[in-house]
Amino acid sequence: MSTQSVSLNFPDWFPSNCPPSTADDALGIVYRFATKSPVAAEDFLSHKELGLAPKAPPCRRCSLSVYRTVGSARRKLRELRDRSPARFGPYIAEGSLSAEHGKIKQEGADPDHHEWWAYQGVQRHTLFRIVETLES
Amino acid sequence: MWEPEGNRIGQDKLGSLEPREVLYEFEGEPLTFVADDPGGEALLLHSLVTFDRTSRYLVSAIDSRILGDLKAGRIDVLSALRQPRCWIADVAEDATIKTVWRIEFALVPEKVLPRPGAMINPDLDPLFRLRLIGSGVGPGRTSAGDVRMAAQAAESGLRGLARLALDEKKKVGAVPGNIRYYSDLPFLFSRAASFEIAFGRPRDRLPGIDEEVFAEMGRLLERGLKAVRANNDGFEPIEGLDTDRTIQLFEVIRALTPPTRGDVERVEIGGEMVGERSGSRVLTRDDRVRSVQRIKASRKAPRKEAPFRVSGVIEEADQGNFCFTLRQLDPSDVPVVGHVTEILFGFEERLYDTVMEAFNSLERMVVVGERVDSQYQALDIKLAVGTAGEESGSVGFGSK
Repeated sequence: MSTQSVSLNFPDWFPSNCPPSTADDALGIVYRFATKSPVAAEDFLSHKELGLAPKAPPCRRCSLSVYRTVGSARRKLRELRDRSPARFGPYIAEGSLSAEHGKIKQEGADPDHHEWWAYQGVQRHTLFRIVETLES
Repeated sequence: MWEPEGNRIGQDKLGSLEPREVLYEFEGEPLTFVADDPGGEALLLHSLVTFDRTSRYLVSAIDSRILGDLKAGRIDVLSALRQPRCWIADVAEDATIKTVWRIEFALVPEKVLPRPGAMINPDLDPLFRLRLIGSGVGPGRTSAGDVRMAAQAAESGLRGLARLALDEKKKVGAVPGNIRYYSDLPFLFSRAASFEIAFGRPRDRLPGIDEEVFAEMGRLLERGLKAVRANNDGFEPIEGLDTDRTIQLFEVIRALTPPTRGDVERVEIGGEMVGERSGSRVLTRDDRVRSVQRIKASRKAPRKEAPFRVSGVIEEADQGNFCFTLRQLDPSDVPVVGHVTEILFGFEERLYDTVMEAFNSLERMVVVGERVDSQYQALDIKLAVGTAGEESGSVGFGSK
């Protein structure tokens, strides 16, 4: 994990009231999908940064999906790769988040699924390492 | 990036491609959705890849019947997309359409398409599927015997896994349903191409519990396969399983593997139970030989006693756990068993109908059984026709 200079402010391109006030400090171990091993910065960019999902809710476009358990991440990644195999890579990365990395909020039907809004300046990919590879 | 093969057409020919109904989404982004073409006809869009701030979709013209079948889980996403009128559409960051190609579905690379069996509702994805692979299997070649073999292999393998998984649950006090509930799963679909058969979840769900049991079944299968493929010829109990349960697991592997002769050379197993981590597994004839070797090696140690015969009435039967209780015994001093008033027998699937008929009729039956360690297994069950004394006693080997 690298030493980072973070501002505890969100990027100015976040919509107003984003993240929502109900989001908590980002604490604990989380898992995220990745297309490359070792982890690459591009796998830790939001839809907004990637210029994708223009119709998605604006605040959600600024967040990254993470999972609280590797099992949940594995299940969802398998599901996504069964549907769009070229869009989703085979890797699951594990990271340890703390309050200086941003805010987090549970989202959707899966209680393990969370949205993570990272503070400006957080080198997100440096917080993670690949822990699992799904076979195709 | 893969370049679509087809003629470019005007960006506005398909309309705005604005989602009218989202069928599957992730992170708020519709990945599979319905849009209307300029004439108001339905288009099914499915996200294939993203690149350079662009999303590429496969667009298929569908009718209400296809959409209904897709939403009801009667067809998978791939089948719904495989239509005579297809396009590829690239959509830019601002949701404008950059390029549209009129394409033939067959020219879309398989690696970007949804996998067979992936349903629009993930809850309807196959829990377990089994595919026969071999030179003699395929459209117009698969025999009725192969189809029966596939169904039996799946049912038998799942039954063994369910029995083991439920044993684990019972150890910690949880008794979530019965073996039949977790093994006699509802048929989802079959395919002619290298014959495949798929099964879904039980219809009456036990939320949470089902997932635990099926996950345990998947883990057991993985452990069994790993042990069968381990580099030794003898028998060693799998860590955490005793000898009997290790043998049961090897029996599961054997049931799922292809016969050593015939048209079926390999068997691919997949579905959520198998593929959460690995996707699918291909079982070979070598796996069968190895599992049989392990089972034989385990049986060198004597663990059974001579079969015995006793007559009685099946007063209780548990169709889920494949066991019954025989009472009104004659003689009451049963060979091998001793002086008892009832015997709890386990039985195999082949005796299921007989057991249920006997239970329903309460007719006196003759059971040939054997003691395996501390349990009793029914080997054969027949209607008692003579006097009780003639129906009971020890059974010589080969007398069945």
